[in-house]
Amino acid sequence: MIAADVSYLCPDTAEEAVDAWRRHAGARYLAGGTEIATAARRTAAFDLRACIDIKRIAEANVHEICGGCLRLGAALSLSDVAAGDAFPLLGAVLRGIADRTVRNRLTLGGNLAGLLPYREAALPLLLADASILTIVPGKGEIPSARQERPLREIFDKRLVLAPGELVLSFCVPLDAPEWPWSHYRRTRTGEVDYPLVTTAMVRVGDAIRFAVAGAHPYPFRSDAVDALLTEWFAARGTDEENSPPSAAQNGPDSPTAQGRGGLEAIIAALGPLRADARASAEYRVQLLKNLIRAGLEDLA
Amino acid sequence: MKELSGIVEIVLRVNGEDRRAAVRPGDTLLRVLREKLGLTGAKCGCENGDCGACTVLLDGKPVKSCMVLAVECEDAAVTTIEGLRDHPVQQAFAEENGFQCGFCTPGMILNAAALVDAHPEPDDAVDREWMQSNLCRCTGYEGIRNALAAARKKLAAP
Repeated sequence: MIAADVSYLCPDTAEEAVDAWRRHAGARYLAGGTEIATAARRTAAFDLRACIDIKRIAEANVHEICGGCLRLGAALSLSDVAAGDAFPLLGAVLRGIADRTVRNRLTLGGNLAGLLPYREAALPLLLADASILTIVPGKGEIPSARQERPLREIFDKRLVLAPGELVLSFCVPLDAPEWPWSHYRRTRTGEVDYPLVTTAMVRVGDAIRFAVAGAHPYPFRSDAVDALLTEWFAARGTDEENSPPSAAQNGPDSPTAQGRGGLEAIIAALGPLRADARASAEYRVQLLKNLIRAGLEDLA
Repeated sequence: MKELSGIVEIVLRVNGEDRRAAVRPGDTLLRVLREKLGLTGAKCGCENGDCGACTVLLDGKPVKSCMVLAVECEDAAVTTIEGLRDHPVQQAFAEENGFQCGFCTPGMILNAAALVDAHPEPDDAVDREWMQSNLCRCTGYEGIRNALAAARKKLAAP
């Protein structure tokens, strides 16, 4: 039960939603509500005066191929997106988040725009160079406006949105689900836990793309790391081993690992890693080394 | 556009019946079921979406009712443990002692009922992944697993 007196608004269109946000100070958009319901109940500092339920907005519920892309509504539950299986890597990542009954409510937009730092659903979307459709509230006489932009343009550690901007959908290029992919998720305790490290990797021709959650206080993808991984992946044929070394057979100091653009350089390019009660930064480094090797083997 | 504030009367379709309740928009489905409608089967455990004791079915899908606002559910069908009415999964939990203190049992049974409905064929990986949504603090998981297997047998029998 939320102690604060909140209003509940249920618009039928995106325009009505952003207009409601303009009219109600302290309003938040609600789709699955998994975070809002718990945060508002536990934390007096969580300012909530109105919930704008976006579940009735048709374009926030699309799950279809149109216009040369796979369009996924922000209000789709993680269970529904994963069950669709149109983007296998996304499905695999989503099935690792929370547990099934939470995923029946937690939405794609909510996972990316929420307060928790993991935002694992962002990984496949960042790797796919997906775009994001939003609607920005109008000001004065200026009407509200939709914007479709590359996700990477507005994802700087988290979604960077204008006040009142509402995420409507994500657009995944149709070739992305066809790319070879790899995904690993490691937790401290059981499978239902926040990730110590979640890795997602794809191979686009000869190029490797890599994204990780849990290793930093935000999801991470970088062109520099992609370039190093691509170089290391390409160099595998020049080594005595015919594929990237497996963690079981070769330590991080092995000659193969130290090859051109080797694993140490890749880890260094990831920057300082997170240290918290779940795991030290050093532990996460070792996990990442193992999972990067495993991922490259999957893609070889 | 629907707008609700203050204390409002809503109609929820619960266990096949229309039930009226005066609620605040901030009231969770769990609290409304228990405190307004007298349906105390859904248990208030963590109220944080972790334990699954408050699980109910919303349009047939298991959800944690502590994370759902009651006002969101006016167009949905809500099923609580009181609405299962001697479902084969309930019978199996009783026969196989799929409970110890019983606090988690309503949530476990509703999740298991949704599981056997969605996946009639047994699959250990699916069963395990599905039932991870619910915690048993008594750690009575062996009995729960046996009950799920027994329920599947009951449902598969001609």
